[in-house]
Amino acid sequence: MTSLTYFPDSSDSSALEAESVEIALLENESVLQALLRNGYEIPNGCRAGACQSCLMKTEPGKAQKASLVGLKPSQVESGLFLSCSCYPDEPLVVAHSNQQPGRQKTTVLNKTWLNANILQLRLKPDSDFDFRAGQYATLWKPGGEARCYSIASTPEDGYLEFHIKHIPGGAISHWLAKDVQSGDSLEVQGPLGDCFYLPGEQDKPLLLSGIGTGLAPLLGIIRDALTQGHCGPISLVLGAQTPDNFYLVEQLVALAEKHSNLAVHFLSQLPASEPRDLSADSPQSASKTQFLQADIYQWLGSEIANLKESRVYLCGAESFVHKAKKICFLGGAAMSAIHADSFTPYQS
Amino acid sequence: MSVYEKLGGAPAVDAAVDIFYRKVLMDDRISSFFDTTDMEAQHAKQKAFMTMAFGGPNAYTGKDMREAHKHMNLTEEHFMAVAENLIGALQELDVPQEDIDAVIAICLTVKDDVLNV
Repeated sequence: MTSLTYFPDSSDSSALEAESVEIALLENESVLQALLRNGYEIPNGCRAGACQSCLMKTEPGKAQKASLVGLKPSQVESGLFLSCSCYPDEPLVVAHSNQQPGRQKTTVLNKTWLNANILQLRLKPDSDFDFRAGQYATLWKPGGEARCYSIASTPEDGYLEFHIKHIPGGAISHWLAKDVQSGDSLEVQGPLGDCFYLPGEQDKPLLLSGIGTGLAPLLGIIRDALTQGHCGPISLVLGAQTPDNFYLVEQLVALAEKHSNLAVHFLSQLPASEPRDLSADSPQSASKTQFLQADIYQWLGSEIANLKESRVYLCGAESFVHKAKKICFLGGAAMSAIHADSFTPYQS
Repeated sequence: MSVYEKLGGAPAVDAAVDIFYRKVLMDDRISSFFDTTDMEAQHAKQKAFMTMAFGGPNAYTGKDMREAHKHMNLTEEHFMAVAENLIGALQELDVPQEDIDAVIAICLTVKDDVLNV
């Protein structure tokens, strides 16, 4: 018989070192059964590996194959498994699927305003910080408050980049915007999330769509996919209220010019107060970079071709992700090929 | 041999769920029930339901089904709409009629629990 090392407390992420318990497994006992038998409340449903309610996390590669059936490759890569279908034959360390890794120290490299209210923050981890482009991390303010932000950089960059939407008076964003200086030390916890690119089917299309700072993870995912040699068509569809809300526009246009398989569509609900025509500066890229006044949902619903073979990445506010997910699913994308990261506002 | 095994187990059910769920979302009789649901969680539930209806591994309890649909005020029409979409999905996958009949027979056993009668 073998045993489980279980980290029960996922809610108290302020603890630097989470406490664990050792649980001896009975014969023919699943991880879920053992935890329930010991009185731990683990969400569960069908207990047959189908409903995925009992999703938990271990070190990647440690869970049995049978407990990975039906999961997305990116979930498997991040160590998720179905606890009802996992009968360990060697000791296993398990935690809730949303369990955060420990906090790590980083140093602020620089801060740059990308537009009127979006701050680019670059941090240099003091020690190795393993992540995949598209994942997110928690930034801690000394004294206890913290918020999650998507990582916009790729591991090759050697730094962590975040796009922080400045909310005047916001506990973390306002502090980052006003008080934090280059050279300051900052604690970061993470990474989390399974919205990232994995190699394979590199000639198939990718559709990435986001609003606001949803661009942050999407930019990381696109650069990561290109670095990993993705050669299929890549479409980035960004939505905003007005054209002034877009940011990193020149960088995205340049990226699309450099990579023939990348097209970027900027869709704004309202017209620009001052007409802006970037295609005039770079006529050869006119067809690959598009500025339109359009509703992003209508556009996605009518302009996207059959998504049957596409991998889809959706990032931004919860309402956007919810609507866009439905449009893409009805557009033919397999549910298992839709990756999403929705930003939920902090609720006190 | 169960329909589940004939279809090819879990991966086949994944494909079937996508087809079935798309039909449900486009069916005006029932789509509004899904307006605010988390699609991925709902998809997983549909998968558990279909696995059960195909005679695959499940830990189905009538209590869960009853509880899940308790406050939805579902009628016979809603139940039939779901069943029709399931039949449509199976037909699209070229499942033989006798197997479709077997699946629907299992669905009918949960009808009272779903409608909370």
